[in-house]
Amino acid sequence: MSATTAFNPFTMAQTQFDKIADRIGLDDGTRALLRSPLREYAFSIPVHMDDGNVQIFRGFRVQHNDARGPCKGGIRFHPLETFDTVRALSMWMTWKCAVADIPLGGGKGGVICDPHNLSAREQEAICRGWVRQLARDIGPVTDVPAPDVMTTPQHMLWMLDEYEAIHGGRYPGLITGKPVGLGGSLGRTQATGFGVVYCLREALQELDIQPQDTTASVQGFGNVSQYAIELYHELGGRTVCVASWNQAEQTSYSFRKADGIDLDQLRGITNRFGGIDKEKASDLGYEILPGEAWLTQEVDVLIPAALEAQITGESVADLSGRVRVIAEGANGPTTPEADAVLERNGVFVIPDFLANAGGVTCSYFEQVQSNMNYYWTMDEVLTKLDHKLTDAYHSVSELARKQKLYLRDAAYVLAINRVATACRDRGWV
Amino acid sequence: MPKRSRQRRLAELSDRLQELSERLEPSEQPAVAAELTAPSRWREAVRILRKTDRLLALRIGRKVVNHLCSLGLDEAQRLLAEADAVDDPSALLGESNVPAPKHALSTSILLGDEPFALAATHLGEAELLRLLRRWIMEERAGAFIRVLGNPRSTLQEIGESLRYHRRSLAAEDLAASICRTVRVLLCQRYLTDQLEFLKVAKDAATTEDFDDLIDRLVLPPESHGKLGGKGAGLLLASWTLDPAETAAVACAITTPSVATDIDLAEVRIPRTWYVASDAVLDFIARNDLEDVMRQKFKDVAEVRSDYPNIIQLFKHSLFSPEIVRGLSVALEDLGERPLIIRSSSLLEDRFGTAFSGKYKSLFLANQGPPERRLEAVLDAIAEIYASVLGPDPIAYRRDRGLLEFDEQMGILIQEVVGRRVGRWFLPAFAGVAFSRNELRWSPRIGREDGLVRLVPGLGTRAVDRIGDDYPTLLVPGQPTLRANVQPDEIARYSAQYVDAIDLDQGAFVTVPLAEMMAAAGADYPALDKVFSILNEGMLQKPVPMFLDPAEQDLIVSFDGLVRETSFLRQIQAILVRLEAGLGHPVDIEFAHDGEHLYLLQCRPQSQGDDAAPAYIPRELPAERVVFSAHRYVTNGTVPDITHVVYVDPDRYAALPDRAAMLATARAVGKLNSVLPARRFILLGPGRWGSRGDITLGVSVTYADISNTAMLIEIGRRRGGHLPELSFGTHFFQDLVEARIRYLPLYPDDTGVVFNTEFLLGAANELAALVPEATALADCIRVIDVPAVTGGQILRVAQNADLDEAVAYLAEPT
Repeated sequence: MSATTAFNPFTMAQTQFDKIADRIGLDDGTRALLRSPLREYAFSIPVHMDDGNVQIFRGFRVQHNDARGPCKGGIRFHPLETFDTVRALSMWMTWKCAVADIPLGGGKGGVICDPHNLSAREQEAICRGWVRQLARDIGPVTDVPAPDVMTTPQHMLWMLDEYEAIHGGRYPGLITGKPVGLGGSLGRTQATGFGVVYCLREALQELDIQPQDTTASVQGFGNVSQYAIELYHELGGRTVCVASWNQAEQTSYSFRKADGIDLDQLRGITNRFGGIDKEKASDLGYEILPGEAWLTQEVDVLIPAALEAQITGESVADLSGRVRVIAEGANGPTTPEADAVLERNGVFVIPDFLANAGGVTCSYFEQVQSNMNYYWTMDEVLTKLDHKLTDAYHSVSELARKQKLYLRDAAYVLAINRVATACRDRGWV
Repeated sequence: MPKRSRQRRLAELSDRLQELSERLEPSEQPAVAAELTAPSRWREAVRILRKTDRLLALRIGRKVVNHLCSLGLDEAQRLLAEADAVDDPSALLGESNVPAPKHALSTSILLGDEPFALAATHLGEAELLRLLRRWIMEERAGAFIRVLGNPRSTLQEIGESLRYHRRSLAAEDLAASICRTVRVLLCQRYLTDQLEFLKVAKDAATTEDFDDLIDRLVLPPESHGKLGGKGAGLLLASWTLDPAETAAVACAITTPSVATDIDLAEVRIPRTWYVASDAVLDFIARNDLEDVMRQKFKDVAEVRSDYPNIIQLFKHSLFSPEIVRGLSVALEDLGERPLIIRSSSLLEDRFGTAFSGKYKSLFLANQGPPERRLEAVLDAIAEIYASVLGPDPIAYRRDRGLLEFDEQMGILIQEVVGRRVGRWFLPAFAGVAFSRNELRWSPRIGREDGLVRLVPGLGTRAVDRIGDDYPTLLVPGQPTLRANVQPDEIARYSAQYVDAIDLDQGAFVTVPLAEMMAAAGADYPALDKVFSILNEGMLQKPVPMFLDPAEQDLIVSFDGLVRETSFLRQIQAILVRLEAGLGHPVDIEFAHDGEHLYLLQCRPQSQGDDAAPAYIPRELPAERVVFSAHRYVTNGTVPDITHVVYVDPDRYAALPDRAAMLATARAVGKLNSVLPARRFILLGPGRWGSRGDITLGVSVTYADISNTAMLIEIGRRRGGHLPELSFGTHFFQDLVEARIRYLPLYPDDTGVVFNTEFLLGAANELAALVPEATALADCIRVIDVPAVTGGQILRVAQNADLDEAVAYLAEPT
């Protein structure tokens, strides 16, 4: 099988970039610079395995662009990791930080390994080995990693510990995703869900709709959904339908209550994975509908906050004509075909990487707090988060309005232009 | 001479001899040593012998002479010839075809001192006394063997005889052949007639073991019953784990990594009483239930509808006074501890028949006044007896031609291992373990590494498979490799409920874990071994002083158990020892009360019909083979596959974009719902269930594949690099619980078949089954096997012993 005929994630990211670059009219130099990462590291990590053998693991770090600030991005442990995947994701991080207007660049890293084949000790050896190879090339003011696919706060702490041992000091700002008390930030659980609704609140205001006059239907009942609903209800909105996964039955159900769900009540009958107890919900007077029913409700707002590709070229036809705003809490819930229909119908879609930027913003706050070794209260974190995302939202929507762009396109244009400008201002291009 | 008084005198004689020979043993005390030279202690012994039992004295005298003859002593030969009045002993050995003359025996020589004096001279007095004692013991054992070997002897008689002879049977210098005979007969009478079992049991058992057993055995009148499979299996296991057996078994252990420092004496067996298997016959006869027993010949639907009435009928029947008395004694001994009443049928748990879980086991809180507790036990036993006529066991027996077999059912009354925690009674944790691992999620795990399914509380949840509640999987041979590694995975695939006995309600209950922990808190036994606290994505060790179940997210991880205790090494040592001792892979049930590990059950590792090593056909024509494999193969047969869903790796990789790949996953999900459940298999590239970079594999969730019989991952070389497959890790535990088989294929390996002609060439049903996915017909191929082969089906035969698997077209079974 030739890998080149397959869609290559990096090629895909470059193609996406090229389209926007064309739109902005980016000069060749800047375009060439941004099409590829600034720096790439690939290295071997020898690990003494529990059985006495030595195994060599391949590690990566890609620093796509740091014109706007230190690189920021996760470390993935994946058995089929490729350099091109890491490149693509590092580029995406650059745009993501830029659209949220946080002073960070984009990076990504990884190790080809499957933690399911490794003991905890071997994983620790990989983490420490990764840092030993990169100790001079990452740092609290140069490149700040974070947990990602199959990496956990535990991995981050092993990495931080190794870095600090090498550099002889305490540098909690090296890495984010740490637990509170060891350099973590409060508000991480709430950040993404609240972020979605900060954006939604601003969008409604722009559309001149009072939140208290609106109803919403939400897919998912995990962290993101629960906090989004919490804040939306505080604004006066009413959630009439929530879809949630039923692990035992391996299917999802929509839970509907026309006069609005009681969030606390529903949380009380939900497991830690966001699965709502069907029987108890029924006893509490919720209508139990098929999993897809959340999408077809007569509501003003849809918040897809669970899965990819939910609003597709086909399912978009089932949306109620009343829907005015879709706030994407999940990654990629809307397919390009659906986007075209929604744009035509004038439905206001707050794109994923703006709507769910609360997460990366809170990571940025963690880095800031860690670097000054002074930690904010929950209120401080959430207030700052509100300001940051409100500003980010307005920048994007203003551009969209002025340039008559679909919000998703505007977000990309804005992000890439910000990075391009930083590169030019620094005299790089 | 009355039999009993003779026996008593023999015993006294034996004691006296013991005393005499002890005084003759080389000793550090000079006074006793001096006595050695004092003449003829043996004379006193022989005198007593003659006085006590003349016939015995005669037989012993002959034994002395025979023994001396065997040492080649001419004088002894002479004595023997005199005694038998034989002129020419060699004449008897010749080829003479004339009957030998019958001589008058001269007993006086054998009753005299001469043979003994000769022996004392040649063997020394001490040796003579030792031999005398041993022969007297053998005489006694002989009496016991006659009782034991008589098929008409009842278990009551055998028990009485065993009690009476217990001391002489324990004699160290009893001839090995006699000990062996006694052990074989005891095993045969109490345990089983099965030769495979006897072969193992006779070497593991000691007569003392049976001595313990008969005191805890409840018998119907005139009993000829046995313990039944479960009881026999448990006893055999406990004997095999006995440290005295260690040396013998250790030689047979070949697994190098097994800890040798584990003390298996630490492993306990819960206090157990047994009801003999023929008590059920007594019960049936006493209550005129013979007609009801013919129920088993009716058809299953009728059996099913009658069953509830039969249970009630049994519950209202009476037990014989002997049984009631026996059970009262048992209950007195067991006290007010919760009990489990288990079936132990003669069909159950035998070598070669997997008959597990077909009959009932019932938990009893066993609280309150003795009469009430006794009534509850009788009620439970009646219900278990009725389960012989349950629809499932009958259907099962009918399928296997076991219906005619007279179903006797032993009963085990076992104390439940555990502690009181709030209103509940439960062990800290319990589970099942297998000496052979048939579920490997990593290529680093070997079959001999074993597998443990562990749950908090009673082990019932580790045996059964229940929706969103999962046992923790551990591999004793690879304790550091866990099926779930990320904290959120560990939380998802962990126990959410606990089975326990509610002492207040007197009932078996299933309690949501959160509810139990809110009530029990730090009182939960071995809390920090069972639980971790999930805090901000970290799994942390709970500190009892800071425990706050209302605020903290307690997860069953068994991290503490694996890291801080020798539990897994202990389990591995048990499994290896039992497998070596029993000569067969085993599975065990166990429970741990926070302090001690208890073995609850042991039987040959169950290989459901679909999990036995499959026969791999060799001479198949090439066109009938669809694929073959020789790496990471588990055991089993997947029969009668009617549909193959094949996602072609090359064409999947060549899909134009991510949306097409997501559409592929959706199409597979649709196929999962329209194809006949468990009659189709899924083959696809790389890692099923990939997220993020979905070029690596189709990004299905478990719900999209939940009805497949088999999940197959194809690892093809890409530019010299062989991708690592997932081994189903994305939903490994879901696959396990649903018994979906997993197989990795490496078509680029030499010597394997991967029939692309069939997979790409056969007619594709995709468009007909999932019209909206027609555009993907190049990539997803759905083959209706009978339609394209003229009625054949696909069969996948897997054999882990050979590490080979083959999928071939065959006639339906």
